[in-house]
Amino acid sequence: MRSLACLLLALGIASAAAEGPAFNADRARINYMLNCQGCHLPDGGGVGDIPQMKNFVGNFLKVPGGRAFLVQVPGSANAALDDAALAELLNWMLLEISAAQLPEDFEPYTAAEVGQYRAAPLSDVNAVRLPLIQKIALLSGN
Amino acid sequence: MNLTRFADAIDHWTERRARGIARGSSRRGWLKTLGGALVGGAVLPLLPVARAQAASGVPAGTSVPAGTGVPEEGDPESCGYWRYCAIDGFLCSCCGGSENACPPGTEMSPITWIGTCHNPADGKSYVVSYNDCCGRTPCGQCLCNRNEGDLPMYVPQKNNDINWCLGTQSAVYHCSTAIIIAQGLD
Repeated sequence: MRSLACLLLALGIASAAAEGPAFNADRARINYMLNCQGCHLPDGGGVGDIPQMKNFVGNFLKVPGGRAFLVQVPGSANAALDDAALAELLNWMLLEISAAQLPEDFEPYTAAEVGQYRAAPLSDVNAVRLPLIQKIALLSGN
Repeated sequence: MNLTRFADAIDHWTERRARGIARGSSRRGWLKTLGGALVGGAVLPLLPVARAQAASGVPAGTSVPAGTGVPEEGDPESCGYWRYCAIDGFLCSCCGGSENACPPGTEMSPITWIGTCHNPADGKSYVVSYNDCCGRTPCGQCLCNRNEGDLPMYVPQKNNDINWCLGTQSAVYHCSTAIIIAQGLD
């Protein structure tokens, strides 16, 4: 009987996790179009010097500092979006274009967290980005 | 006897019909008809009337493929056309292309400046992508400079004064399109 209760509880947690974070996907998509897509392209594929986010950007959440980095890059930190809208956009984007790379214990960004990170934007993006990329490469054994 | 005459009559009639068809048509005439049907069928949906008729409620936030489902009014060869609310450059519509397509011999930039414009035909806002066409010298026709939503150069992703011929083989600017990519939320 106890095992049945455990099973039901586990199923309940699993279904809650499957629902994902609550956000307005339409609003997030429009905000992505207006603030990101012009350079990052509709699917986040990138081109030339613009880095590929599709099937990659979720990796940043697996390494220390990566979670803050995604908010501190100029495109995020300087976006004409308030903290709640930026958190919504990031959560939507991560699940939309890089769900397979997210850590299993992915926690959606909150507005307060985003506000804290973007208060310290990066002046030299590559100096922070390269070590993160190296850590990600080590994770995947490359 | 009667049967033979009847057979002769059919034979005669068939021969006349066959010769008549051969005289009145060319052997490759069907190609012309088929070609006409193909081209006509392709061009017809592009006509503004058809586009206006096809206008329907596009759900907010969904992508809008070029030329479908958006009610239209105004002249795409004029700066006042609603989609050009934030444009700065030459209209591809005046340069051998259209508001949706580059002129022949140019390459559309994948990197683009994106804003929103108010459509007077249905009173709704649409997300517009000003993809530049690149690879030939500036077109020089229909220079338009409307700057709704334009921000200073230090916000480059929202500035329309910079050259958006990025990610193309050539960085030479020719003209600008104004492509609808979504309907706004309000």
